[in-house]
Parts: sequence; structure tokens; C-alpha cells
Amino acid sequence: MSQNLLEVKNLVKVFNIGGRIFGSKLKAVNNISFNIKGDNPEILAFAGETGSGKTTVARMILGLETPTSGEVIYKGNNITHIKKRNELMEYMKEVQPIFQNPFETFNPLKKVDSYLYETARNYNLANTKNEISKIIENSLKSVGLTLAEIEGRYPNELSGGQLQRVSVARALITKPALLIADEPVSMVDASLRMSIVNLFNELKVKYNVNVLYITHDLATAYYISDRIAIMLRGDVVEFGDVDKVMLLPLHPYTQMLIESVPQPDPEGTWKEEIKLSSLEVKEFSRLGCKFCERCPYSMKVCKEVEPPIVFKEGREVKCHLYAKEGVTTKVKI
Amino acid sequence: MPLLEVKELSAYYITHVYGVERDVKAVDNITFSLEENEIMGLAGESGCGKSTLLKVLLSMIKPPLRVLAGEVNYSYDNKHFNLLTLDKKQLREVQWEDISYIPQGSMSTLNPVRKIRKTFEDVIKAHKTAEEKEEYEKLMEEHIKYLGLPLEVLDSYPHQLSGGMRQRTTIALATILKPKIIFADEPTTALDVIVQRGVIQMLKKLHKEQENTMLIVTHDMAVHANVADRIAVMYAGKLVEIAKKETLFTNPKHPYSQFLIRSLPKIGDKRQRISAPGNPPSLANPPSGCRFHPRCPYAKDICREHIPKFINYDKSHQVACFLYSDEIEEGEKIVSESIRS
Ligand SMILES: Nc1ncnc2c1ncn2[C@@H]1O[C@H](COP(=O)(O)OP(=O)(O)OP(=O)(O)O)[C@@H](O)[C@H]1O
Ligand SMILES: Nc1ncnc2c1ncn2[C@@H]1O[C@H](COP(=O)(O)OP(=O)(O)OP(=O)(O)O)[C@@H](O)[C@H]1O
Ligand SMILES: [Mg+2]
Ligand SMILES: [Mg+2]
Repeated sequence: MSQNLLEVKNLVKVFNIGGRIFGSKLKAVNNISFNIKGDNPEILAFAGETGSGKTTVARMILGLETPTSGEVIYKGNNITHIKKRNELMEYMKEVQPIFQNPFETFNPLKKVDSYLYETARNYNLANTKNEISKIIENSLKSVGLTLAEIEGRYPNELSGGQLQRVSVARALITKPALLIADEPVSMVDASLRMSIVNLFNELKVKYNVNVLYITHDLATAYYISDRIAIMLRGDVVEFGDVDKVMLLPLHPYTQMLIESVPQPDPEGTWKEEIKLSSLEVKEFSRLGCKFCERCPYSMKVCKEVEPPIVFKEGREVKCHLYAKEGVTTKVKI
Repeated sequence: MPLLEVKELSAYYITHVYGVERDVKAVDNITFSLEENEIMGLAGESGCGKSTLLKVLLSMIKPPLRVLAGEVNYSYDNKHFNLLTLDKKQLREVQWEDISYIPQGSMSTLNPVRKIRKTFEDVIKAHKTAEEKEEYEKLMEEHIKYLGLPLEVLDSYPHQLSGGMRQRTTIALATILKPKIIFADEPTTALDVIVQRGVIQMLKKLHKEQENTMLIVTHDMAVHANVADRIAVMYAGKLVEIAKKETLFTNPKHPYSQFLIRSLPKIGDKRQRISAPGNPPSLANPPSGCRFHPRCPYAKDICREHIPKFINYDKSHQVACFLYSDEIEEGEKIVSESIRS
């Protein structure tokens, strides 16, 4: 089988934002392309800056946001053009979301178990109440919960972590081929975090589920994923094999990011101060490289010209440093 | 005298589901203290009661949450009081000004339809009645600048700011009145590591200059490693261990803390990490005896029958586990009986 499971082609999203301070157009996603093959299931991580467009990419794949331009192709079908309800249902059954903030995913006035029943009913997974309960009980079990624990409870009666496990369980009900998990573990403790990412791995190995894993937790991203994309201000600045990108990062932003990963070790604490970009949103509208103001290697060309995507050492990197031949490969910060 | 002394504190969510009473024992007989100017990190499983504990320490108690027993004693500037016995007016005087809070999920303190400047003004006005408008404008702008935020944030709406900027604004808001103690609930969750680093940097700076005391709740052990002096570990509504940060990372005593530390992944190391076996307990119906016993590889008979006492393992290290002492906790029975009466 040579058809890709998912193809993302030149995806762009421009938001119109009101307000006199920050201007009016924001390119939240700037021309992103990648594939998920699917014949050999994988976990693909998306990491990078807060506000760099990761959630927007996820929402476009899920069909929740219409791309300004570009395409999302699933098993050969362009999903932005799907109009028929049953085709859309079929797609949504195979590509299931897990959202970032469980407090926002769940309506405070609705009992949490109703989400599970609704999903099971919407996709016509079973006919009898008994069968439905069984499916739900099974998916809850795989995330370490039981129906008895959540039955009849409202979102505010559950902790953030419990709610997040309910959303993973909900996504598993339809037995999807691709999970789009937007920060699925940011609200849970270290131990549970490992059990959820280990669960993703199990889903991948046992049931051929692919996972697009969006996270700020680079340690779990390294631990669990096969490939990783690093995003900055709407761009994917580095993309490739997780070992290559994280152990030998080429893009100066990736280097800064990896260097800032806090160590769970009292000896390895951050020493020097860092400077944060102050008006973050301004960087979006920059002409050249969006990182040039903070980059220690910034050159004249970086301010003026958008960097090309270069293939180098087994990954893609969007940086002028590597655009020419003969540039040093390892840059140290 | 410690700045905060928590004594035998129990707070449950008491709800009725289909006519059946259900008590969620989210904070159960907790005793600990915080010294002036220290930073304590609070870690623990999702849903074990960390946010609930903070709510009680701030006296933000709304039904179905009820405090069943215990004291929350503060002592600073020649003031000594049990926060739980103050009336509404007295509470308003200490909350925010002396005892401040950075809630979980930064959006909740910023009003989405008000400019940030207005929210700041509301807070200042509520506490500094006598001051002139110009004076607090100045106070506000100085504080924002001091924390390295652009003044433009004041004239923005919350949704116009990025997650990181919003979180830093919330911290600015929580510290504008120079509180004695700050409770921060997951202040770095959902931020990228560079912004996380900036937020931690900001908290440390405030800690140093305002000489405050902090209790920081986070799941991120790396954040604890970076900021805390001591770390407290909670499991299923109970404190199970408190130790100096270095000790907790290198020599955790409680089996749950051991799982917590050992499950941490590291970049460059792909060895399988094992998380604590089994499932988190239900706080409505917690296991008998030590609440960790069904998941504990060292569980023995006594663990199933009795609750271990939170004992001094050594001078600066406390743990509740029968591996280290046979002492049994007093009191839990009394608490559960008192609810029925
Ligand atoms: N509906 C919208 N209208 C206007 N701007 C938006 C909208 N949704 C997102 N944005 C902006 O687009 C940019 C990218 O946002 P997005 O949520 O995709 O980032 P992210 O990488 O998921 O960030 P985080 O790591 O904080 O979750 C941000 O600057 C955000 O403010
Ligand atoms: N309003 C409520 N009614 C009933 N139970 C509640 C209520 N709020 C919280 N709980 C329960 O109390 C327990 C403790 O919740 P709390 O929010 O304090 O946990 P937490 O340790 O902060 O978790 P997390 O790390 O996921 O934020 C959980 O089991 C939760 O389901
Ligand atoms: Mg996001
Ligand atoms: Mg909490």
C-alpha cells in the first residue's frame, strides 16, 4: 500500500484579529506540509512555542477550522471538500481528537459520562444499552478509570487529570486510526503522564493507531515519538527523526528550546537568565526569519528573506545558516 | 513561629447523588507548616486534592466543599489568626493583600470582556481605598515594567495575549499588593519550556525582592527541582512525604514518591519508564488503611488495616509509611463519624 494515511499540503491559516495594537492579520500557520504514512504506525510529535500554531494545525486536520489555503488529504480524499454528512462521520470516526484543556472540552452543565454515551451513539457503535456500556467501560479501563467513578458526575467534580483521562477514553471509543492529541498530558502527574504516553505506544503497537502528539513536555516527546516537528510562529523550523532533532538540533530555536528543558534534578537547574520576546505577536508579521531578533547567529539576510527549507542530516530545517554549502553543521549555544 | 501552620485539616466534598450521600475525602487529616520566606512545592497524583488543599488554605470554601476539622493558622507582622474562623469582612482584608493566589488555568482571574488595566484597577481599588487613581496607575505600571512585561498588555483583552504572556500577567496581578504568601496552582502548565523558564524566573525574582513565602503546586517535577526548597507529596487526600528537595529527588522514602521520581523521562534515554501500577483510588471510597496499599509493592497486613502516621523520619524529612515506623494515625475515625452527626 503506497497511499499515505494523511497528507498535509502547504497548509496556511490566517486569522483576522481586531485590535489596534497588534495589527489585523495573523498568519498562525505558514505553509506547512507533512505526511503520515500509516502502513507503519508512528507517533509524530509537534512541539515548540506557546502560540506557534500547533493547535491550529490540529484543528484544521480535524476539520474544525477551514484552511486559508492548502489541503488536508486523508486516505486520498481531500477532507476540506467533504460535504456529505456520512463521509464526514466516517472521517471523524477514524480521526479522533483529544483536546488541550479538559476544563474547556467539557460543558460544566453536562455530566461527563454523557459525552461517552453520545460518542458511542453518534457513531452507531452498538445497539443495546448493555453493549454501549461495555464499550465505554473498556475504553475507560484502558485509561485507568471505571464507569462507576464518573457516572453522574459533572466536570467540576472531577480533577483536571481525571477529565483528561475521560477525553482519552472518549476518543478511543470509535477505535480510530489516527489520534490527534493536543497536550493530552499537560494536566496530569508524572506517573500518569507516563501511563498515558505508554498507552499511546501500546495503541500504536497493538492496534496500529497513529498519534499526532502535541506537547510542551519534550521529555515525553523524546521518550515516545518517532518523528518530531518543532514549530515557531507558524513555521515548522525543524522536522525529522526524534533522535536527530532532539539530540543534535540544528535550528538555533530548537537548540534554545532543548537547552531550556528543565531537568528533574536539583543539580541541573537553570542558571542564567533568559530574555523572552516581549511583544510576541509582532514576530508573526516579520518578513524574514521569525526568530532573527532572538537568534544569536542572526545575519542580514535573516531579517529580509524567509529562510528556505533545507534537507540536512536526516531532517528538514528552515534556517539561512544551512542554506549555503560549507556552513558548519554543529552550532553550539 | 512558622508563617503558616496547618493542623489536622480535613475537608470533604459532600454531595448527594440519587439520594445517596457521597463524601470525597479530598483533604484528610493534613498537618504541615511553612516557614517564612520558603518555597514549598506540592506534588501528587492528578485528583489527589492539591487544588482543594489550596482552596482551604485560602478559605475559598464553597459547597459542596466542607471543612470538617482542623486549623489553618497564619502568623506574620504580629498578626496571628486561624483563617477558618474569620468572618467575610476579615477575610476580604487578608485575601489578595496578604494571602494571594494564582489559580489553575490562568484565564479564570482575567475577565475576558474587560481590559487587563480594568482588572488591575478592580483589585487595587478593592484593597487600597484611600489611594488616588494616579497613584495606583503608577503602582500598576511600575509593577508591570518591573516584571519585564510590555505596558501594552494593560490595554489588551486577555484573548489578545499569548498563553505565556497571559500567565505572566496573572502572576503580576497576584503580586501587585506584595502579599506575604502566594499559592500558585500549576503556574507553568501548558507553556513552552522557554516561557516556563521565564515564568519561574519571574516567580523567583518576586520571591527574592518581596520576601514572600510560596506554595507551588505542579505536576512538573522539573519545575520543583528548579524552585522549591522543600517538596511535599500528596496521595489520595493525604500528605505522604515532605523533604528537602535534594533529599526527595535522591532518596525518596514513600513508595509512591519513589514511583513518581523513577517515572521521570529524560531526553537521551528511551528506557521504558514504569508508572505506579494499578489505578488511582476513588476518594469517595478510598482503600482501607494506607491509601496506597493496593498499588504498593511492599504492602503488608498492617497497611491494609491501619493508617500510617505522618512521622519524622529525621529532622527535616517526614513520611507516612509503615516501612519506617509502626505508629498509627489517630483521628481519622473520629472525623468520619463527626460528619454523620
Ligand atoms: N480563532 C482565532 N482568532 C484569532 N487568533 C487566533 C485564533 N486561534 C488562534 N489564534 C492565534 O493563532 C496563534 C496560534 O495559536 P495556536 O493556539 O494554534 O498555538 P499553539 O501552538 O497551540 O499554542 P499553545 O502551545 O499555547 O497551545 C496564536 O497567536 C493565537 O492567538
Ligand atoms: N465540586 C466538587 N464536587 C465533588 N468532588 C469534587 C469537586 N471538586 C473536586 N472534586 C474531587 O476532589 C478530588 C480532588 O480534586 P482536586 O481538584 O483538588 O485535585 P488536584 O490534586 O488538584 O488534581 P489535578 O492535579 O488534576 O488538578 C478529585 O477526586 C475531584 O474529583
Ligand atoms: Mg495549543
Ligand atoms: Mg488541581
